[in-house]
Amino acid sequence: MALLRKGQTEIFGLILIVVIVIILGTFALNMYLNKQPSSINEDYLRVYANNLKTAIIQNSICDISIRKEIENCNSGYTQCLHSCSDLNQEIGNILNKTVEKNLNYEFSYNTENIKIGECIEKITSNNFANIQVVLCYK
Amino acid sequence: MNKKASIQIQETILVLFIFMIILSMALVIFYNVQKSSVNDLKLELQQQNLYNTLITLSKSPDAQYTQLNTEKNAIDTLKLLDFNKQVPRTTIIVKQIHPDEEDEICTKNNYPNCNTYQLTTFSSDNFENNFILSIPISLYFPLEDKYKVGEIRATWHY
Repeated sequence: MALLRKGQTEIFGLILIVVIVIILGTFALNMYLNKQPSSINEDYLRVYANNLKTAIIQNSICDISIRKEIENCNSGYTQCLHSCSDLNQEIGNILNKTVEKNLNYEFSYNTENIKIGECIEKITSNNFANIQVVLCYK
Repeated sequence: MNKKASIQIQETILVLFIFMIILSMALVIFYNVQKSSVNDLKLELQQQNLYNTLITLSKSPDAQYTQLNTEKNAIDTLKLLDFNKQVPRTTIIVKQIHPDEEDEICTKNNYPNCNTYQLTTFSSDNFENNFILSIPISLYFPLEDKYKVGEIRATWHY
């Protein structure tokens, strides 16, 4: 009887070791999977946003830049396009062609706002002459 | 008594044997996890390297548009026609996105009726995987004195 009890104790000890190893393994896997995210994505998005803004506002339409036409719209007239809503459409068209499909964006100038999707963790370009680009991953 | 001792020894050997098996399995799993972790770090470092290459190239005097020694935040497309650098395992192109243009690689003969400027080339036949990074840029066309929208795209082959 004593021998049986001893055998049971030993088997119980073995099971305990296996359970401890499994628990430790779970913790280790959990720590491995919850690594800190890389900061390169933030830097990349920031450069992307600034470059996107520069490329759009420098883009030539007729003999002027989009930036000049934005300033004209702010003053209540247009020099190249028929109307300010045409300017909106032109900017929207460029954004649609240029921005990668895995990004949401928001291009704001004066009181206008062109956007696709909603951004929670967003990266914002430098604010220059009230023109700003906001980006985030979908 | 001898039988009892012998059983106990056998028990101990069995426990040790099972423990060694569990330990070996744990070591194999740990090795695989570490190997995967090192590969992830390698990929992350390459990503960083590619990002740095992209930024450096777009700001390089061989490509950037300057007027009276002032940098103009744009790439001079005429300079791209003579651009000639080698970057290991990387293909870099500049592509005009807006307005739309003929889908051709630019040479001195068809410029500016083309949309792709090949900055570096690399034969990717022996590599299965690609990592691509791109950023928008402003393209300047000196002959027309106009700016257009483009992107610079780098592909790392591994």
